[in-house]
Amino acid sequence: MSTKQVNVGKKPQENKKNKKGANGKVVKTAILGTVLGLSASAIVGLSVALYFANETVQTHETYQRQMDAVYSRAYYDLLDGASDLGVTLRKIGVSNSPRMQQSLLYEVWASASMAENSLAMFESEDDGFMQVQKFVNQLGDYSQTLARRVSNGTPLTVEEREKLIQLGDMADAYMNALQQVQSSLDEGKVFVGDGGALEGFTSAFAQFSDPAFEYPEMIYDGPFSDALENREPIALTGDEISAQTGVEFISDYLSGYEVSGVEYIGEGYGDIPTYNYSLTVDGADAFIQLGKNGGKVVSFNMATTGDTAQAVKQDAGPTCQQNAIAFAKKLGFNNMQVVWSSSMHGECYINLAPVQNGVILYSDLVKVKVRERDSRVIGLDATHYAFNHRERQIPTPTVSEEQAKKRLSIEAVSNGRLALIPLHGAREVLTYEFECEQNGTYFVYIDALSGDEVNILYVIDESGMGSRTI
Amino acid sequence: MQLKNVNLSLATRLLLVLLAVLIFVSVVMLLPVAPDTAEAAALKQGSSGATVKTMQTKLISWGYLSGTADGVFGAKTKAAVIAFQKANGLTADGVVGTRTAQAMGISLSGASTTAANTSSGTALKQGSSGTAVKTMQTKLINWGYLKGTADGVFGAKTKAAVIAFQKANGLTADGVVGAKTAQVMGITLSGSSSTTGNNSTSSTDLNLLARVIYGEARGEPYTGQVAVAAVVLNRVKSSSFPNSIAGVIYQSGAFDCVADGQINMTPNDSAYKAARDALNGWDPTYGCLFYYNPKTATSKWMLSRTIKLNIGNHAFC
Repeated sequence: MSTKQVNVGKKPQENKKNKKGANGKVVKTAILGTVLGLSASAIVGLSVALYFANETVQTHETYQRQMDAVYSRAYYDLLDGASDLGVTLRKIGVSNSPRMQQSLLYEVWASASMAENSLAMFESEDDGFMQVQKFVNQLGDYSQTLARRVSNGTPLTVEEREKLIQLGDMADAYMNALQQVQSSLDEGKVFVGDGGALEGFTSAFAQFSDPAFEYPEMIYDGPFSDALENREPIALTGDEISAQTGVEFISDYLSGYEVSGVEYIGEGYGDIPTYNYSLTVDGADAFIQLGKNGGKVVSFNMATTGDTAQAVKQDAGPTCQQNAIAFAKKLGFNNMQVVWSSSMHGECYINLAPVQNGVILYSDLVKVKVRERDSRVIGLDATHYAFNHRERQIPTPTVSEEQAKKRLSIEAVSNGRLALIPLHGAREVLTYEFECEQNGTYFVYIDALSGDEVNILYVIDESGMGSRTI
Repeated sequence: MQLKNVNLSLATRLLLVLLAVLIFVSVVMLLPVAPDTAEAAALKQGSSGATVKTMQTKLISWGYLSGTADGVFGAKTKAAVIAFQKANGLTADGVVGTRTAQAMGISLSGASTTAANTSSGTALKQGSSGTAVKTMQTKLINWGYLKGTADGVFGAKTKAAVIAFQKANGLTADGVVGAKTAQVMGITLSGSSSTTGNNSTSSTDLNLLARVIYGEARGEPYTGQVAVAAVVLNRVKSSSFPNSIAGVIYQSGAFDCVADGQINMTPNDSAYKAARDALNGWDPTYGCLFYYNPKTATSKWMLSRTIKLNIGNHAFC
């Protein structure tokens, strides 16, 4: 207001100049005010941010230290277990006393089991590291098998002693690799964080994946035996078919179904060479795999949508089992018998096994999945059959069923039936199978040649899982 | 003047830009703290209402809580929440925040995200009577589990028939017709809606596998989901990997869904079915130990492996 008054009567040019100057002052004040205001809020904002940032950093550091402690513990456990492994193995190799051998073997087994757990803490995707895990797993498995055998009165062979000494050298190499990491830890390095010891950890074992590295093969009766790592689908014989022939086979196999949109989607180069097809069966997406040789179904599975858990008639069980056997027969799996079935959520898993001269071949299972609502087969898996089925040389039992029954400590509720069962995944044993009851159902297997009890299965009935055996 | 003016506005502009940057930075720095501010909606001791009831029902059905869902978050509920959090690798503070709610499959804003088991209704057991019992008996008689006539009274004979039915259908054979048994029988309990069963009471292995499938392959074809579970089981069997399902799944760096937390999501029906198939021996990969998505994989080591099978977006090797 006052400026305006002052301006009255002045020359337009002066007026203009003055006006500009006064305007400039207002602008300056405004800018200054804004600057001050913004700076103040920025300072407040920044300090709040810094406070929380600091807190975040602190939490982050706490987590990092905790993780570091977890890794360090796993590492030092490994080191601990590895330190005497080589020596212990060589001691077994030179020892002559079965008692001493046995206790040392159990020592190796215990160390290896501990190492297995600690190794699992570290990243897996490195060939050398995987090789080391394999070594440790097999070593535990192998020494346990040998210990068990020695305690049964069979002494170690010369070859086994030599192998143990070789394994002692492997154990030394493993120890050395572990110690490489230790030197960087001694320099004050930690595991977690940028440039931490964790980054190079698995590469310390690189030499184990070197093809020139001599790795003693361990073949024995155990789940991790080298004998089991390379499997072949011996049951899939016959000429190689074409993918187009496969399509014709499929319409034969699934003739009772409404099949459409069969599409060849490629080969499977896994342990079983297959042709893979996607298709629609009874309106559901399905997938089927045929063995490249012979075109037998190795796997069939329908994606059943929606709720399958609906009321089921009591006589559904037998119908499902009959349908399972009939479906398997149609696909070329003959002489099959139901050996196990479990029902869950309206679907029934039925295990079928072939019977040869009255003996059940448990290794050659074909698993069939049946929807209980309409007893329709909705899946089949013949992996076990493909890997194991062949004509067996079955020995004549030297123990009678009556004698075998006397070996049972609990009451049998079934007659014994002859079954060839896999033992430790490697060997097959002819047994009598008895179903027994004592606060639950057990299946007990008595060796038909020696009369020894070789396996016990217990049926657990977990809700949701249905019944299954362990 | 002109020059000065320009200078000033330039300086101002610079200052303003600087300030804007500062404010932006401070806001960004505050962001990581933001989830905590969502705590307002969290459920804790003292909370009550429909969401609490939903949560309690879930905790009861999973076995963390016993008793009935009364919709009031008391000390017992808190203990159950802590147990749930511990079992699922969450911070065990007894407060149901966003993460815990996500793992439970409940929505904090009030409405339940899943329809499963919203209400357990009134279970039928020995001593119950009425039309629901009569309907149930009629069904049991028709299916051959029960003899005689449907009198609407739940006695010892009815109980035995219920147990036989439960055994035959893979249910907990307790002789009590709860929500699950009722659903399988196809009867409605008073106050209970017939919902799709969730599989929460099944074994640890099945649950773990289903979570991996859901976290890793929920968009994949069904067989692709079975294949992912089969890879886990093949690793358990392989000597080069840990010897338990949990050991394999939680091995450092092994599965993305563990690293990004997606393993804690609640699996769907398809994931459970695929997990069951794999546990029962289905393995479309025939022994594969690895898989990756060729479109997104960056690991040279992984890409150098021979592909044995392609299903959906995954290459198995």
